[in-house]
Amino acid sequence: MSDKEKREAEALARALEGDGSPEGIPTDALEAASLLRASREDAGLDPARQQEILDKILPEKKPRRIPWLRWLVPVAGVAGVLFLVMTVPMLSKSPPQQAAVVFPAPPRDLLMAQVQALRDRNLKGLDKKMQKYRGQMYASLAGKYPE
Amino acid sequence: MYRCLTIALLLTLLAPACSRLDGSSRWISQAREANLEADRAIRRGDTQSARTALVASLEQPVPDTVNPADSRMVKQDMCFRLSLVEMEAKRPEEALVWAKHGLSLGQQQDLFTANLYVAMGSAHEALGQEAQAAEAYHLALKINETLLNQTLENEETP
Repeated sequence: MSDKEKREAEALARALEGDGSPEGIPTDALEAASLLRASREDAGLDPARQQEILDKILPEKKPRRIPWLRWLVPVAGVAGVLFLVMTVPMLSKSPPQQAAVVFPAPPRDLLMAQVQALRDRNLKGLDKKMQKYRGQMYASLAGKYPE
Repeated sequence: MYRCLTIALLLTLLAPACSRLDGSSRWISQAREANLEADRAIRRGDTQSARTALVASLEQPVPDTVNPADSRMVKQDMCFRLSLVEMEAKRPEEALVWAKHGLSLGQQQDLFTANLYVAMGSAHEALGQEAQAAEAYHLALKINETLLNQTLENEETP
């Protein structure tokens, strides 16, 4: 090894240690020294800086965040609960009950048929007489509870 | 997605409300139909079909919107008819059960209660229970007398 080469080697060693001026070192050797230094463990970026760079260059890796969507779920939930609270009691409340139907008074012949049934045990005759009154009864009910 | 859920929720809530609104008229209609079916069955001597139609109708739940006084009269009339059907089929025990069931729904000074006492007395008589039969006939007559007086008063009133 010549003296010149020896001097260059010493300068390169100093450059690798990070002290001293890099004078008299060939450019290619200085670049190699820089790379070697940068590859050392203590020469790495701090985690915050790493994250910052990652955030900048890898936007697709970050989860998509839509600001209004975060509020939509609780707001929709509260609105749903309010809707149920307001409508369910309204619907489950029984509609007003109709007043009782006033049926026509039983005609005299029907009441006489009842007496006749008591006298001669003719229940079929009474049922037959009831048919007309029953028809009136259902007509009154249909009028009171229309379809 | 949210729109579909909202529509489904509304339909779920509104469906019972709609069925509640027309339930009373449907109940009245099915009772009337059951009576007409029983009429047809009795005319052809088919007591079994008459019984089936009336019992099926009687078992229908009464909607809340129907006034209890109205449902009582409808049901009591059916019980009266069922009692007659059972008497026709020579089953006085069952006839008595139907008459008693009808009276258990409530008793008023009206035609339907009186009819049930008539049916009850007839069933007791067929079972050889003379005293109970006489008591039932007596109660029927008392109501009949009241109703007859009211009818005569109405006829006299111009």
